[in-house]
Amino acid sequence: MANCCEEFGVDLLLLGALKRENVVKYYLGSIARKLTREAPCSVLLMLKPSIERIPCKHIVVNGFDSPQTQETVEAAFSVGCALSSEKITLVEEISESRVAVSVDDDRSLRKATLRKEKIDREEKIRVTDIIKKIPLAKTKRLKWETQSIFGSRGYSIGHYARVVRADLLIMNAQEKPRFYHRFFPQDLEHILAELPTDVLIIQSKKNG
Amino acid sequence: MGKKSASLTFFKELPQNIFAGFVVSLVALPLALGLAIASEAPPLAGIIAAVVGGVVVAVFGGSHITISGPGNGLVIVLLAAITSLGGGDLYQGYLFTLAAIILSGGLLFLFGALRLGAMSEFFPASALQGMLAAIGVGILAKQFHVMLGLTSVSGDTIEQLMRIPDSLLLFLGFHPFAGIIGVISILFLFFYSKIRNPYFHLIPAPMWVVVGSIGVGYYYQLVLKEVVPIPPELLIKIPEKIISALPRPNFEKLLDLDFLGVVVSITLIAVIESLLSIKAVDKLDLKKRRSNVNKDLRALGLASIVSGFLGGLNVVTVIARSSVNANNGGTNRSANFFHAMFLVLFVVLLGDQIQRIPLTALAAILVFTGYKLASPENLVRIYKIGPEQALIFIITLVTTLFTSLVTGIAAGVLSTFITHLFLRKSLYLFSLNVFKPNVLMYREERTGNYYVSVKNFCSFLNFYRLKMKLDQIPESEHAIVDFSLCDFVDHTVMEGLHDYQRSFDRKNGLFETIGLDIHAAQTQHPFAVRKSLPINMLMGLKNSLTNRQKNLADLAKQLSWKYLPKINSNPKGIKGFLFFESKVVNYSVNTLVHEKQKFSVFDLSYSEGAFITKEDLKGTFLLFKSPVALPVFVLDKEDFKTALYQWAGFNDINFKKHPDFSKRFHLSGNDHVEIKALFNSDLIYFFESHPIFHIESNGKQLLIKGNDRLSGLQEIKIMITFAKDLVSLLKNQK
Repeated sequence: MANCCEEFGVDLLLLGALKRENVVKYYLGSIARKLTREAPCSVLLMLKPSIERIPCKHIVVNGFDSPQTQETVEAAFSVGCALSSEKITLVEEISESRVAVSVDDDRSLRKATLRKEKIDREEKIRVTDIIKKIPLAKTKRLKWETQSIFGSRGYSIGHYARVVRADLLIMNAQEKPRFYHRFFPQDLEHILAELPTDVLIIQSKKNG
Repeated sequence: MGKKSASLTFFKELPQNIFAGFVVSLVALPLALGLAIASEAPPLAGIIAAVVGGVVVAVFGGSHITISGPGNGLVIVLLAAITSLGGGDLYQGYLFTLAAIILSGGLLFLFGALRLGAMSEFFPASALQGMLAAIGVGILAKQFHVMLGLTSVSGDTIEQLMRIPDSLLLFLGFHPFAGIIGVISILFLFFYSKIRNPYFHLIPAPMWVVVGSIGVGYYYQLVLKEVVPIPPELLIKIPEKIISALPRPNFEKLLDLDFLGVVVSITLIAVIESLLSIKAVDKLDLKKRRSNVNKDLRALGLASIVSGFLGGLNVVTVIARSSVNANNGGTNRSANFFHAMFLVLFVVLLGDQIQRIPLTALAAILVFTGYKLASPENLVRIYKIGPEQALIFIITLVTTLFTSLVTGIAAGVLSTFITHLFLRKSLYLFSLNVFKPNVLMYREERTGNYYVSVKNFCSFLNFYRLKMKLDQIPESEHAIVDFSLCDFVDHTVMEGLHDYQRSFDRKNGLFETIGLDIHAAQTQHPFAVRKSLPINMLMGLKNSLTNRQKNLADLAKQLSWKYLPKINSNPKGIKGFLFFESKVVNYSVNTLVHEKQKFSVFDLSYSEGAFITKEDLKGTFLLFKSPVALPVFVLDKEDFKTALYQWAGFNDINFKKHPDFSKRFHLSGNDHVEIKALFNSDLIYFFESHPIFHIESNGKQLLIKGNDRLSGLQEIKIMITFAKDLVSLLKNQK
């Protein structure tokens, strides 16, 4: 199938997927996961496809600092408009290592909290800049907000999507998947191991 | 706070820290001697550990009001090490053990340097309790015989336990006088908290025992002109030349397996005891600071190394002595330093008196310690949390008694894990998720609250992940922990969350746990069983009202107030008062409420101190809203104790115009100007002409404390009238 996609120049691949995989499947990789990793195009993973259309109200999209993000966010707004969603949340995942203060006592806690607030503000400006580049027609039709999370990248957004009961999660495609990533899950792998909701993975043109 | 004002506070608080250090040294002296003797080390080894610990940890430590010194938990390990490593030669064994202590100090330092302070979370709470109980049984079994004056009883813990009845029958035939001192001492320790005289309580119980037993010796010598009927082997021996008699640690067994086993056990117990103590003591800190655990571990490691080279035992943070420090107004690490200095003074100046302390009296203190560690109450408490927890407790206890500490704690961890599997009936949940991150925390943009969500399962295996996130939330904020995506939460986590709740409460933050109610209904979820049961049990006992309760109900009717006989485990509104800052509130009961004017009278159970210095207290309090804004102040009777506090640096506000008031009342607070403005002639006359209560203001509310016991009906009536008069007076002033 992956080859087919390449031959026909497919833009979007639709896949049904298991919500959760067991131990064996996790390491061998189910078909859906394999395809997701290798497909040269964007992939939509559907958890519970149903004939009756369930309205896609809330979209969560990643906003971390990466060249692909601009395209992903743009796509998210297009999808959001097309599905007439109500809300888009941009989640900036910030690695704890950026805070660079480990909390031991009151003083370091204060320091860490201040730093986090500063990083938080910086991230917000960055994300707002991304949105400013998107045509106003799209951004005006949807309510959007940002949420920064300090935590491991790729994991937090999946958990967040589950907590806020998002209907669609839109992510950047991974740069270069390697086998060891399955043992040390990174970015997408966390989400693929435990799909929080329907996931749309946007393959950037630059990457392709 | 700037550097200048920080050092200013330091000097301002110096006298009260010296005072606290002095009181602590009174407890530390008997304990240090006793713990060293119980480990078959020279008595001075304990003092050396306390002195080195006090100095080194005061300089390099990361906590504020903890006291360091030789620990209870280590007695059993050190005893085993000294007796086994030397192959029968106790002194040789002691030298080998010193080497082990130095190595374990190094390991402890590494623990701190690698920030492994969170390690203690990997041990399930019930297993830890079981291990501590085993240590307690070990101390009790051995010292019981010594307390009766019999030093020759040998054998392992179980054998020694079995021989206790024999010893009880026989001891009068050996050294009856020494034995009776021991028995009187232990009875005194058990009844000490029942004696409610504040002057008496200025000196901690262990010191009374020591002073009393020395006094008996002097009585024989000076009054009766007889030789003290205590054999020399039951008295403490201190070498004449302390400096030249320093032992040299023996590193010959460095690669010996037994030796390395000892190093590991010492380190393990030292880490566990220190971390548990630091965690508990932080809750008694008046200034509500958070300790830097890893820095403290590094300091303790360093102190152990130094102490080992000087021939001392290893240094850990100790709970009983630290709580004495908190209760006597210790505010920073200098109290730890001064406790060490006073110990040096004692040994140098009172060396002769120390040599008159009978071992039986010290053994009585240790038996009491052991009993507190292994108290059956602990098992009952754990059984109430859940029968499976009691099983874990017993498995750990028995395994530790029959094998060793390390095997025991391993058995505890294993049995906890097996119980979890059994309860959840799924290996899948645990095996698949144990290494995966499962905690999400973010600050909600709209509300500014911290939201924490936990997925899959949360038990002792991965509690550290949740802890890491929770530690990053300032305690003055609002935190919400959501378990609705979590299938299993164990007892260790629930207990840990309870600790967080308390520290948030102390700093006026809010800590909520949500999403656990569904589990309780679905399965035998720990939450329902664990959280609500102990209090339900208490409520069950209070079905029929006592006479006092009936009278209170009548009084409520008479005043047309409301009477609530129920036990409330989380009484509201009393957190802001200074009185409770270094005390733990257990529950309130028998509440009388007047809704409109916000008066409430209630009985409160609270405790002071921890572990062997713990005292459970009960009192009747009256809480009411002040009609005007007030400065924060504390007004109490001027007596010997407050005079002592004054001397130690706690301020008393006096009025030149009202010498009678100034003489009889002790008034303290930070905002002198405001307080002096408030206490005008009318108010002062009011206080002078009414019965004296302990009165505190937290700015908005006033708290009136009756006696040091529950108040009777008549006294409650007086309190209520007093409060009503005070309210109308304050209103008129406005």
